[in-house]
Amino acid sequence: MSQNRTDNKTTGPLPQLTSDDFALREWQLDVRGFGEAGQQRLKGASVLVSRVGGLGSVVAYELAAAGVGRLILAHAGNVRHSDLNRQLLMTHDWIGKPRIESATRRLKELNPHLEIEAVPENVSAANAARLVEQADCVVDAAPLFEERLAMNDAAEQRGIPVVEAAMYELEASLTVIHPPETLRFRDLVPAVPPGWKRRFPVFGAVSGTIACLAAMETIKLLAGFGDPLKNRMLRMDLRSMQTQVLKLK
Amino acid sequence: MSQCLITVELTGQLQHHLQQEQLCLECGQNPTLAGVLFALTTHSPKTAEILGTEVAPPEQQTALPPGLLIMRDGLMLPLQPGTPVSDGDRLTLIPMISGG
Repeated sequence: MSQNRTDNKTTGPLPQLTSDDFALREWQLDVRGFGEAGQQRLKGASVLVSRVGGLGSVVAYELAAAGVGRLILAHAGNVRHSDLNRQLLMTHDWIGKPRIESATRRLKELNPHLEIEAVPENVSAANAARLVEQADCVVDAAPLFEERLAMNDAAEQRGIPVVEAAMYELEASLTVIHPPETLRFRDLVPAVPPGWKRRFPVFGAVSGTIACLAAMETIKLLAGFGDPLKNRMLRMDLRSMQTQVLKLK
Repeated sequence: MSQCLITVELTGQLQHHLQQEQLCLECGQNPTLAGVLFALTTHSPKTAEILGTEVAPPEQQTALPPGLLIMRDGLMLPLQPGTPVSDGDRLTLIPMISGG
């Protein structure tokens, strides 16, 4: 477990920033409420991203750019042609090869200091506890409710917050789950909705939009500033460009 | 006594299917969420498929579809078949999504 805590309490000294850190993150260090201490917290943090598909790939990229120290990436399977309209860490030359390798390669190109644990598996009830316990924060970008439920159950047991991001067609939603401060994910989704289909209509611009917002929520949680979407849910309809924030509790 | 009228605002796949942003449903004299769901799925059986449920009268419903958020006046209602609603209520139905 890394030193960073999402309740903004540290269990040990924060990692020192190097001259490289200052140079790379110069423009974000000026963000009000973030600063050098926020950057140190990001550097000391581990984040689990469940699937690096259309949504998770952009989350991982933004977190790597922001200077999160360690990413645990979980995604099974090989790159397919049909991935490439949205999964921005996958490349055409990697079709037929493991997605997790393509993601790792692309993230390392952006941030060679980033530590990556690449897990060629999707999250399930069998591995959720093992993956979640290594993280300070979880970003849920899985396409199946089974994975979301397994990961949230494991995170709840360990008191780790989950940034819940999802999309369908031109619709997107985002909330932060961190019981007992917030509702449980199972309060929203008590069981797998039988109507949900594995294949969903998607533009990469939609999954990427909500991914950037999910990455920002993660940064806020890790660095301890701003007002994360706890007990609130952002809903976006990119067809009409309407947004609303629902009060969940 | 007259039927209670409940307005339901549709979102996501429900709105997409019905091509309507809202519906006004007659939901009996002492309506509950189960009654609203029955009226909706009777009006459009496809909505039952979207929600992963069946068209069933309120007394036969033991649970509401998991992953359906129902909001009233900006607050989430308990997802129980017997949750009461009132004539003139305006509910928002939000099927949870999981695309990544």
